Amino acid sequence: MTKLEAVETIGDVLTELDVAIGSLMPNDPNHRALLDIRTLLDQRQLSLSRQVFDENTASFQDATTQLKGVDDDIQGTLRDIDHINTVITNATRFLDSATSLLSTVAKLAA
Amino acid sequence: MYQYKVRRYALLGVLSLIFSSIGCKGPSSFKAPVTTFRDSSSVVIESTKVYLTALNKTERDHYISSKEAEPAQIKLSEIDSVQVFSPEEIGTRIRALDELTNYTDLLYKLATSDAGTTAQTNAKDLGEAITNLSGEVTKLTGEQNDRFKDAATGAFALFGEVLQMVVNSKIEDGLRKAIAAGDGPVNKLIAAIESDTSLAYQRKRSSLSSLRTVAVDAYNTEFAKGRSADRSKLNAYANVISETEDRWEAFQTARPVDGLEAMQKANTAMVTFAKHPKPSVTDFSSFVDSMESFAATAKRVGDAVKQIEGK
Repeated sequence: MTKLEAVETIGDVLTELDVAIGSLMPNDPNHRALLDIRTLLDQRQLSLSRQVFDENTASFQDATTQLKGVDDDIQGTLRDIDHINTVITNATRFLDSATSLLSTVAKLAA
Repeated sequence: MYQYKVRRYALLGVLSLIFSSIGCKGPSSFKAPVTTFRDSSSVVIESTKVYLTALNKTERDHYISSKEAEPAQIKLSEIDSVQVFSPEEIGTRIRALDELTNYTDLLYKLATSDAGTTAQTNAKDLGEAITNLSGEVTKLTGEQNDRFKDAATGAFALFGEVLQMVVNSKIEDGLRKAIAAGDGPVNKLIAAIESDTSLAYQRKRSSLSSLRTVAVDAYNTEFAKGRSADRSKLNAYANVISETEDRWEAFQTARPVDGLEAMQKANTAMVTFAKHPKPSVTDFSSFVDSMESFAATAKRVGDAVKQIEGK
């Protein structure tokens, strides 16, 4: 996976999360929880967009493979607000994977 | 008159063979697809400029709207930190696109008309502009500019040589050199800008997606007031949702990368056709189809970008 593909993958999840957020009332505590995850994930996408590093390194490829794996696992689940706990769990899982990717990238860019 | 014919036949290397071998297809029929390429390139470049120019604004607006929606404190220091490229870096890329348009436009004018001394003056001015831009490109620092710098340096060196030949009244030599260099330098420059534009597109996508929830949340917050909800506010918020959804829908087809990729393919098709020693009617037809396909993509992207911009 390239950096641009990773940025796009994160963007796909962000748009899915927005559908879930926009389907909850603003005073719903789950709305707040998802918005917080969304804010952090958006920061990860912005950070990744700005970083310059060697995309061919094994560590970056490993991290993106993991991100892709989580993305595949949670595919289609984030809009299902009838199972909101699963939505939050899966969104958190993807955020953790994106955070791990950024840690890897930070080392490569250093 | 002789010089005019020489220029015309020098177009894309061996056009004298083209016109004789494709029989009924004269210079005027060749001019149409070339003009299509130039016009479509302009549309794609303008659309790309919208993304690059709006990139920092997208990040700023996204930051401000997300803070307002929470609500949370807005800090100027944080606004500065969300920029992807500096204004100088964006400006240099935009000027590179401008000069690429001017360069291709001049070549096609030289090849398809008796441009005369005006073309030489234009070539001289363009050569100076590209020299100045090369200086700006050299000053760019940071690894995020490496790919663009490499591509621009290669393309500008070629442009400079070709333009110098035109200034020195060696127009046919300049055209031949442009053809001999092939599609590589121009396509490499387009690809470098395409890469940066793709990131801009993805960030704008995230921003627009976020604005969808901001619009819906504003409506739902008012709606949650029940009987005391303000009908006029509900109506206004509903209109904002409708407009935001229209922009979101248009955005899905407004991928500037599609236009730039189509431009690369069209450029390759043009150079391939030019290098063909004896193009047949089928070759010519295929060439025209390539330009028409490019035009269709450029129009789609251009129209969608206009809708996003609310024009």
